[in-house]
Amino acid sequence: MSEGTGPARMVAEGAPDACTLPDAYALKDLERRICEDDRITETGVRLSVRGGRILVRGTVASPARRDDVLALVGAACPGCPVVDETRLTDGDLSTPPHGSEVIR
Amino acid sequence: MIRVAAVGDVHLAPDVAGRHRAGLVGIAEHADVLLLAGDLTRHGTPEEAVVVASEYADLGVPVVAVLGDHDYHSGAEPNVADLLVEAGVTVLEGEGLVLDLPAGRLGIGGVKGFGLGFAGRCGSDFGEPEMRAFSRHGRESAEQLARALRGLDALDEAVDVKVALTHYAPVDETLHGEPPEVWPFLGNYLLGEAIDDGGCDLAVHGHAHAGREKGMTLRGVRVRNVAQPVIRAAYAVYEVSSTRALVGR
Repeated sequence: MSEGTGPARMVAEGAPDACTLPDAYALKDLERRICEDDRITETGVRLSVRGGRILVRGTVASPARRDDVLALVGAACPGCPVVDETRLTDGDLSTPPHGSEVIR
Repeated sequence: MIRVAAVGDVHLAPDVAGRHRAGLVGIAEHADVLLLAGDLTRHGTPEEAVVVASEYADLGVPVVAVLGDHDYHSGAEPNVADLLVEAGVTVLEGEGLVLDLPAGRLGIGGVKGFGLGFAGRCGSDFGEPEMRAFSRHGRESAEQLARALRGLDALDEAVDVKVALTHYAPVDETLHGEPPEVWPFLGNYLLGEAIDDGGCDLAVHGHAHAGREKGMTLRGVRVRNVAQPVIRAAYAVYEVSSTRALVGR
């Protein structure tokens, strides 16, 4: 499955031993909140825990939306290390078409 | 040959206003029509619809749209549709449209559609009211598309090219990349059957951001997932000739 990953950046150093990393249920609940929050409404964000860090992947519509997603994750998981690997899609909106396809 | 530009799932809102417009400059040099496959807004609010209307007004080619699930989220979809229509966009919901273009007569049958799933792996009109309502709505959306496409055949003058425009996917091939467990919420095989029965030359849809672009119905109609995260461009262009003579439809 394409996760739309972008370049990785650490957004919260945190300390894995000092925070409570979310379990699978909590991660899915966060994904649901990211989707349903009226300020965010990002349906393509996927969360996982790898190596004591929360990994945030998927596509987001703009830098502001990405900041909102990371803020929600940070607030829900205080003190936990967070790595952002989301990919912005707003640049694609103005990308010219990649040629054309003949349908016959 | 008619050049059909298409894109869906642009999810416009004030914070990205003008971004898509920048990619649509000069579209008339590349396409004869622009189809919008739904999820034009983020939450379906009139404020967002104003942004959408501004993005697609006066492009130099006809613009035809269906709405998507996001456009229904706030319960203001009639307002959303009205704002688009005022800007010159034709919004279809179970209707057909014929465009007399310099390149030929283009017939478009459009409907948002709904989920249901795919043959052998879908919901059914049985059980709790909520489950029956889900299944019934999926079936009815496909019936709407079928009627719209039949209407194009009943015209005095035939169309040269026939295209189906939906938000939900008519086949599962273009959903590969999305978790299979959610496919019933992304597409509906009865839409594919309506497209085959309608003798379409092309079907375009959105909704499946993590899917793949190319698919085909059971009877060989090309299906293209034009969700913006899939095509990664302002729009895709398909140069469409009638395929009906080739397959005896």
